[in-house]
Amino acid sequence: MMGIMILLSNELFAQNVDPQKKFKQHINSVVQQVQETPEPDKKRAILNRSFDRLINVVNKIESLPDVPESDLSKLSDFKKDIQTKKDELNGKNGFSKIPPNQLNNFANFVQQDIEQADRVVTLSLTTVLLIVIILLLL
Amino acid sequence: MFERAPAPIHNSLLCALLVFSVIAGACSSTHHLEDSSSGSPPDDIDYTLIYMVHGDANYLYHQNGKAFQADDEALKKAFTIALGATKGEVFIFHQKPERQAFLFFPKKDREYYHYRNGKLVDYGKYSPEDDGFSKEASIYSELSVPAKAKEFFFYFGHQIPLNESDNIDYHISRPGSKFNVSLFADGLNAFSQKFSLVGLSTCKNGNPETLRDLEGLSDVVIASPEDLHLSYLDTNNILMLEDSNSVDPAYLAREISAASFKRLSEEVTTGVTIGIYDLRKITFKNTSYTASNSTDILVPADTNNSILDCGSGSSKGVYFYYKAPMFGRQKDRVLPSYSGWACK
Repeated sequence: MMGIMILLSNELFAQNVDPQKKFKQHINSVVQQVQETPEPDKKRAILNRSFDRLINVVNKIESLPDVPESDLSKLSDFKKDIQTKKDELNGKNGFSKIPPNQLNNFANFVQQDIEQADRVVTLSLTTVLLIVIILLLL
Repeated sequence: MFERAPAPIHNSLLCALLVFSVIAGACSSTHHLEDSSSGSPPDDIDYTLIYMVHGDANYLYHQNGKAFQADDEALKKAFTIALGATKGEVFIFHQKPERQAFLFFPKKDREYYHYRNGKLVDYGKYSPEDDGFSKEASIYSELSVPAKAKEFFFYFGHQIPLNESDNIDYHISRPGSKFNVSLFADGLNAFSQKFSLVGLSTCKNGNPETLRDLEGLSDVVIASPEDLHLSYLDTNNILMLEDSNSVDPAYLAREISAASFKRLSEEVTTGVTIGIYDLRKITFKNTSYTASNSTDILVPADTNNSILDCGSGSSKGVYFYYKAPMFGRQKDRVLPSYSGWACK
């Protein structure tokens, strides 16, 4: 796993890939998938799968050594935020379940909230790069 | 009778000159599109607009699946306004990522555009001199009309970090450089002693610390106490100055904020909050993070990472536009309970 990550990391650096851009493009592709899927159950499943992947990515990075303390705190906030969105999607922890006809809007909300708040921007580039690499591997 | 033949130039000197000219060519360029520094004086300049667009970070956002660069979009809007400002002078600075030639020489990737009376008269490239706006201010001082009209400043970028916040690499191409509210305020002061209006198209700068640092530098400030979508504020209504430059800056701020609020409310599902802070009516206490006037008492708060409302109800000198987000914990928050102030 670590070897593949190093290989991918070298490859991404060699291609001068902007990891923050890559991350936003990933979120955009998920949102587009939701918009293009007609069945509400499948829309919900796409969003749940995406939230789970993001939470898993953060868990993996948190378990790695040498992640800066400031990043750990921001990653924890980011994970909490994603978990809250997942709760809202499924009507848990005091939320009402997002109705089927609101799933497209909810997907837009998730994207706009992530992009405008730019929580990812305040993470170190290395950590964002790790997020992208693990997202590609999962 | 005869022109003297040029003296032969030694090969090594030619080489040195060639290298120097390549470096110099890569380093700077200024294009005077019209003679702006001499000759006929400009037509009446009733007002001056300064647009500072930060682009040295990730500014990608998506709308309906389509990708946009926030700084490029802000620049396009600024160009349109500059062309319409027939009675004004407009400076647009684009703070692009800085590359380096031969590892040492900055390539002067930042750009400025200078318009007078609706016409582009100057364009050039430059490098920053420091972490603030010294270079931009010196360009402005050199090129702007000597008798200053009313001045307006608009900044587009990510949140300007608070002074005590972690050292964030705000300018991605210049790691280690600092940028914060104090540097921003000092930068404004290098341009002018007093602006009529400062517009902050950023997230979360509608807070006591930012506004206290801008006290005395601007009559009125537009800022969001919460997150602001990267499609930013629309400043078209600043062209009301074409009809009269004596219009009150608070009125201009309301017109700009109302138009921005309307468009953002239609386009985004997240919350939209735009505050107008009339600094002529707000008195700040000396204590950090607190401010007071006749109706609001702002209190220190540091419970967690989220932004808190640190005002109380409606505040004198503060007017704000607010729409709750369509989803999330704040979706039922109603207007009267929110003051338009934010702190951490």
